[in-house]
Amino acid sequence: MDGFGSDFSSGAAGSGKMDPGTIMEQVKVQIAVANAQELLQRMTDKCFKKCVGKPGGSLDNSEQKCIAMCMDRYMDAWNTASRAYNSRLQRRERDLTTQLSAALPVPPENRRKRLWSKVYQARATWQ
Amino acid sequence: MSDFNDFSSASASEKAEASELQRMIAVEQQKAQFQAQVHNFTDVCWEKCVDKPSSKLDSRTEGCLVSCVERFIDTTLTITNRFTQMVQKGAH
Repeated sequence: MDGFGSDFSSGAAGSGKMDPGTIMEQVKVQIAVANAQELLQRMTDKCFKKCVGKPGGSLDNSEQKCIAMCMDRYMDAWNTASRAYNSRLQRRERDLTTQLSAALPVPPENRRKRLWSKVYQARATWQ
Repeated sequence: MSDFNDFSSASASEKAEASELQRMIAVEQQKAQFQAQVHNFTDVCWEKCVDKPSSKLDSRTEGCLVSCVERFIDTTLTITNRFTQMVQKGAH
């Protein structure tokens, strides 16, 4: 397989133009690879600190076991942090939406219906 | 057929495709930013909450990690707000 994202001619078929599907695929792959690299770098740092004492001639059994456990716990911690951050962002979005809708006046029923029918008409022309 | 290097003559559908692509890339960039933040939080909160790696993440450690992320965000907001005030008051 080519280096990730290094060969941009693969989807061109000679026209010099890539289709959006291929572009998006390559973008997602590059981002995923960068994410995995970041995770591994930080995980290695933490688990080396926690598991390896005075460096010897090789990693002994207890150090190996500790590193394996540490990897699992680090990924658990990553998932926990991800959920916590996501919840926080959703809460902020909820609060902002509440504040916004409290600040905006609600149009009377008949005007609302006219506005919505305009939306539906516009949407029909997009097809 | 339109010249691909001259976007002023690109058809409406080509322009629409390009802006849709821009939008989709922006979505992926946002996701990447989210993940970069999570890496930061995990790094900092691991130091604060995890002592010895064990066979499972116990509920105390989990709670610590969640609180840590929340308080770290609160700290960021506090610092940003106070710093803004300081700058507005002309502090150096």
